[in-house]
Amino acid sequence: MIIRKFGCKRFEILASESLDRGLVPAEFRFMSQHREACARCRQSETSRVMALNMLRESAIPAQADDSFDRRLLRRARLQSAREQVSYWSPAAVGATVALVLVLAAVQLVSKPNGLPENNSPAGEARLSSSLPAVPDLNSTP
Amino acid sequence: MVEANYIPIVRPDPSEELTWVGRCRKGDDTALTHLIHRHRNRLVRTATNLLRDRHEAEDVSQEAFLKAFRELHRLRDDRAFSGFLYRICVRLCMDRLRLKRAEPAEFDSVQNHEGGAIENRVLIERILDQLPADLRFTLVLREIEQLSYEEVAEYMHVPIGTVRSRLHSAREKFRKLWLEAMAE
Repeated sequence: MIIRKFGCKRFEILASESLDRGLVPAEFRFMSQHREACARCRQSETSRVMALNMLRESAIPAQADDSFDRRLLRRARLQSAREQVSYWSPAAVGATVALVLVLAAVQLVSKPNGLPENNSPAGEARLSSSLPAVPDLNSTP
Repeated sequence: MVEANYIPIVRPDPSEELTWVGRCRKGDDTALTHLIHRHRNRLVRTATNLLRDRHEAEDVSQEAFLKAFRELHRLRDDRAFSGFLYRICVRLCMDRLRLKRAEPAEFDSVQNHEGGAIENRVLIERILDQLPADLRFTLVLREIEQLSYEEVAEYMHVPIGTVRSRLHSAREKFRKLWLEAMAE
């Protein structure tokens, strides 16, 4: 009776631990004595073993699909390409902006303000007879 | 101890891992393929047993690989790649499960499984669905995946003492729910 009242909790813990480690002789002895004295613990131990056996039996022996490697490698390459793009894109944007600025600056510098001083046209200006005559604004009507 | 459906887990050799991860850091495609090939089956199986859905598990496993490769610079010791990858996978499974639980419940995820053990699987899935996510994951990693306490602690990013207490609670809750389900 004493064993039943005060040992149930200890029995429950030891029953669980016995699944993971070997019990020392004193623990083993205690469990045997308690098992004989307490029907409730005996039943719970049996049901625990049965439940856990059923759990182990329900294991799904799954394996990777044949196309697993191929799909994963494709995703890995895609991920790598995205990383490359995200790594280089700020630099690419910066380089483009810089290039545009440089081109604009070159354009501004190379554009002449007016005709240079030594500019002398190679041709000769002639008055064309087909053009309408320019009215003389200084002459009096 | 029932060992049906149990496929022995072959854990990768950490010293060999060192070479492949080092080469992967330098952008070697062969190393990348090798690492995927090395871990894919175990990762998919772990995710499947955590989520109880094979298609979702494959998706999560791929995400885990991609995230691991993306965040490879955070890994200090290349020998720990395996733990790093599984920790990411468990975290993604946890997120996926929480998202799933927020949505209306559907019991069609076992329809793709084969064999006569389907009733057992449906029952176990329903029981697992009633467990809190952290207890469920601790129980599955220990009982189905047969990981050590240290590995469960590493993958779930919690102290070993927490694993011990969670495992005890999970087993007890699982037993009670199983008894209720069997009584129905």
